[in-house]
Formats: sequence, C-alpha cells, structure tokens
Amino acid sequence: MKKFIHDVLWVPLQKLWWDFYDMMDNIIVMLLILLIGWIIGRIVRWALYHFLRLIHFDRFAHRFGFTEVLTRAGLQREPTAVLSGVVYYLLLFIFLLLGLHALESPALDALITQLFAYLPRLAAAVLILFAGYLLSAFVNRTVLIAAVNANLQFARALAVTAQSLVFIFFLAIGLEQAGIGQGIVIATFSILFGGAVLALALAFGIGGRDLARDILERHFGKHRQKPKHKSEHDEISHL
Amino acid sequence: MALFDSVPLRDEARQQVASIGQADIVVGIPSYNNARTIGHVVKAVQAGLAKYFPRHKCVLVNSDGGSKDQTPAIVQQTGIDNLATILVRHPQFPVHKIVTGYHGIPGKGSAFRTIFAIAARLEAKACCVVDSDLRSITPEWIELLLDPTLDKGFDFVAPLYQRHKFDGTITNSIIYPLTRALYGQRIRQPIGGDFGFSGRLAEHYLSKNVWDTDVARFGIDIWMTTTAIGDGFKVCQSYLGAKLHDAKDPSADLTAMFTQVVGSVFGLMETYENAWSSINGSNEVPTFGFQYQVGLEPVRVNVDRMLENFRLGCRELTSIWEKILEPPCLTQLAEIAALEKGKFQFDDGLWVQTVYDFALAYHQRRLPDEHLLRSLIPLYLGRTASFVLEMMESSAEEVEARIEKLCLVYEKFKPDLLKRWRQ
Repeated sequence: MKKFIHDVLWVPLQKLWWDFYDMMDNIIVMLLILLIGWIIGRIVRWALYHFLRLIHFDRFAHRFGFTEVLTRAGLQREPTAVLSGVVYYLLLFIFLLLGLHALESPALDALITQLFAYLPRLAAAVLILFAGYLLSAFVNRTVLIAAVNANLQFARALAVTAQSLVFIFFLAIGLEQAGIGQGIVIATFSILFGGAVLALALAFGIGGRDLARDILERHFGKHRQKPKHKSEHDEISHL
Repeated sequence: MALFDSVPLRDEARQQVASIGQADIVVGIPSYNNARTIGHVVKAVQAGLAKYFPRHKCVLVNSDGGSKDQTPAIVQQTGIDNLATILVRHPQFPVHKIVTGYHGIPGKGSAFRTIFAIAARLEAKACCVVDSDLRSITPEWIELLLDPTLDKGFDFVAPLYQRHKFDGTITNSIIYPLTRALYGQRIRQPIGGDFGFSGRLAEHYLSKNVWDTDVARFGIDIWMTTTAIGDGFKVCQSYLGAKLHDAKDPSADLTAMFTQVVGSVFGLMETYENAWSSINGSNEVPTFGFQYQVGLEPVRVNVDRMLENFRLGCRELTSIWEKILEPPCLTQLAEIAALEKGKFQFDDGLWVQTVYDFALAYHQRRLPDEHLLRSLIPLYLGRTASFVLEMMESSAEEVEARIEKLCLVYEKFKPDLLKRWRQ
C-alpha cells in the first residue's frame, strides 16, 4: 500500500514539482516582462495623453467625427483618454504575449505564433472598418448638406444611401482582409453595389427625367433652360 | 528679393512692365468671359483716366482667367474714338494697356494678385480695381476711387453704391453688419468689388501668404477691406451711384460665393482677433462723392423657394446644427420653421445669435469648414425670406434704416461673442 501511494501519488507530484521548479525561471521572467510592460504602458499612456492634450487632439477628433463614433459606441470619455487607453492596453497585450512566449511551452508558442501571424490582418481589418465608418459618416453629411442646399426633398434618403454604399464597400474590404467568408463577401458586395447603382440609374432615368434633362442642358446645351414660370426665377445678387 | 518677385508674371506682361518702367496709377480689371460688358468698362476707365488724371502716367491691367470669348482681344482693341468730346485738357501720357493671364488658383483673388504685383513693380502711387461685368460704371468712378489715395492721404477706398433694396443680401445680412460690429468702421459695401488703394497697400497685400485660400477666389473683397482696417491703414468710401452689372444666374453660384465669403470673414476674425476684440460700437468713415438718387432695375425674388429650403434645412440638418448652435437658438428655429408664410419672421436677435454661433463653431473647429459654412445657407435663405417679406412694401430709406437696426443688434451681442470666443 505504501509503495502504491509512493508510485501513484508521490512520484507524479514530485515530477510535477520538479517540472514547476524547472519552469520557475521562465515564470519569473514572464512576471518580470509583465511588470516592465505595465510600467512602460503606464508611462506611454501618460506621455501620449499629455501630448494629445497639447496638440488639441480632442478638437480635431470632434471635427472629424471621432467623438461622435465614441459617443455612439457608448464611450463618454474624451478621445484623448480613449486613444491613450487603447495604446496602453495594446502594449499590455503585446507584453502578455511576450511573457507567455518566455514560458517556452511549445503549445503556447504555436498558438502565439498563429496569433501574431493573424494580428496584422485583424488590425488592418479593424482600421479599414474604422476608416470606412468615418468616411461614410463624412459622405453622409456632405451629401445631406448638398442635397438640402439643392432643395431636394429626399435629401436624407440620398445621404443614407451614399453612406451605406461607402460603408458596405469598406466592410467588404475589411472582412476580406480578416479572411472571413471572402468569396461570399465579395459576391454579396458585388450584387448589392451593382444592384444599388442600377437602381439609382433607373430611378434617376425614369423618376428624374426632367432633372436629368435640366442638368444635361445646363452643362452641354447651347442655351440654358429658362425656368418654367417666371416666378420660379430669382434675380437676387447675393454679394 | 522684392515682394512682387514672388508673384510669377507671364513673359509678355513682364516685358511690358519693363518697357513702361514706372507709373503713377494702375487700374486693374479682372475678367473671365466678359466679352459682353468689358468694352464699356475699358472705355469708362480710359475716359476717367484721361479726364481726371491727364498729367499722370496710367496703366490699365486686364488680368484674365482664360476667357474663351475674346475678352482679352476686346480689351486690346477698345479705345475712345474721340477724346476731345469728353476732355477739357488733352492727356500728357497715353494709357498703357497690359493684358495678361494670371498664375495660381482660378479666381478673382488670383487675378487681383497679378494686378498688385504689376502695380508694385511699376511703383504705382494709386491703384483701383473695377469689375468687368459693370454696366453702370462711368469715368467719375475712376476719379472717386483714385483721388482719395492720390490727394487725400487715404490708403483704401471702398465703394458706396445705390442698390436695389433686395440686392446684396449677403452683404446686408452678414458681411456689413458683422464687419462693422467687429472692426468698428461703417464701410457699407465691404465686398463691393470696386476698390481704390495706395501702392503702399498693394505691396502690403502682396506680403500676405493667403493665395492658396478662399482669398484667391470670392474671398478677396472682404480680405482686402479687413486687411486694410485690421492693419491700421487709413480707409474711406466713395459714393459711385448705382451698381448695375451683367445679368447672371446668382442661385447657381450661391454655395461657392457664400462659403468663400463667409469663410473668409470667419477666418479673418482669427487673424485680426487683437484688432476687433478691444472695439466697442462703430464710427462713420469719411465718405466722398455727391450722393444722389438713381432709378434701379426691379429684382424678382422667389420667397417660397427660400422658405422651402429653410424648412427643409430645419427638418434635415438639425443633427448638424446641434454641434453649432446653442439649444435656445435651435428651439426658436424649430418654432419659426412651423410658421406659415404670412406669419414667418426670422428676427434680428435670432439671426445675429445664429451668425455668432457659427463664427464660434468655425473658430473652435467643431466641424470641417465646408460642412459648417454650407449648413448655414438654409438659415441665410430663411433670414433673407423673412427680410424680403417684411420689406416688400418699404422704400429704400426704410430698408436702410432696417439694416441699421440689425447692425446695432450685432454690436449689442458682440461682448457675449467675445466672452465665448475666449473660453
């Protein structure tokens, strides 16, 4: 019985202890790496925060719609704090991976290698989606204001359509970059985009025949079209 | 290197300038496809120079933006057949003509820059610029624009016109009252387009690095006026009579005109913050010329379309205006948008608050400039519609008194603007 306990319990425990003892150096290195990462992260976050404040990053972020993106995402903090926080956690994550690598575990190494290989693609996809969101919001506002100034009653619909097309375009690129359902995404995008363009062309051609004629005559006609009624014409010189 | 050396001139212009050497007076005419009217303008300028400045060496500069309708050729060919019919004294020098294109962004400002550079190279004492689409210009305009700089020691002469009560709505509702409230000088037509200025001021204009901004386009007029005031030059205005110009489709150019002019005013508020922040109230500026009443052509206004545009803006642009306007202002806008045409009124207080809020939002870069300025257009149209409805039966004097009342509101609200500007 004593031998049984020794063989079944004590020897494996002893082996585990010696394995753990062998790894102790690596664990200490990992903890050290994490500590260094945490310190560097805090310093970088502090420096970046103050640098961004110095260059009035919040004002730029507000101007280009970044604040709006954060608000919509439920983040009520100032963009300067958000960006420096993101960089801080990114650094922590990178140091965590480095620390895990220091454990010299083949299984973990393989996983980290795969993760590292995928990270650039994932980051690129996230960046593309973010840029797409910002650009599509910008397009929405541009089209909306232009359409209102052109007195188009369907200004909102036009702006949303333009925004959607731009965002779908970026979504397709982003998903392709991330390697998610590449074939399906491209096919879906082609169908949606092609369909939307065709629909717009048909809508403009059929529904907006008069408008199309006006625009063409205005640009290419020998004589500009006169207003249908005298009362439609303005003679104000604004300047 | 002299300032004018930084402005590239075409070879033929440089050669002509070199052969002329020096001049007392330079008159500039910017043009682009103005074949229909520029002949009359050139004749008026030549007659004005011959009649009022016969002892001065004068140069007429046409700075053309690449016209396709023979505008430059018309300038070259136009002359006065019989000067004796309009002159008492024969001019000592012939009027030289320089007809040239310009470099840079296509626009009136770039055309002016070339005129400034030529004036500086010729060491001109006095200069003036007149629009090429004018139908009401007379030889007297040249005297009235040049004489204050040549003989009375002024550096900048703004025009003062008689205009139809509904003409110049951007001037009347924004540019004049705002410029007056900011800089304290009652220059009635700060973007009139026809100005006189000294050679010293022309060189000063050239020293500014603004030629890749809206100043190179429609922003040039307000920039010239504001720079003259802000940098402490001596300014005055001359009464020129009626301003009638070639018919065009104003609504087609409204967005560009509006954003460039209003954007320039807002931008200049930052440049000249020190000049305007300490000023309270406003003063008359010296005015030359005999003021008389003239008949003006009627102006047709489509109020319904303006109101429609304003209401559409109130319906669709509120999410954008929320970033610019104070909440009480937004509430009032929503209220007046619901009013029917007969009761519609965009009052002075609301309008001035709107303009000041937009100026502050521009200063604080709350939105991209183009978005911010373009989103002001429906509000401007609403205000214009309200003004037209209110003044439909009023005389020119009553309208002028109404504009004066608006100016006082701009001046009254200025301390609040300044307080928020510095926050």
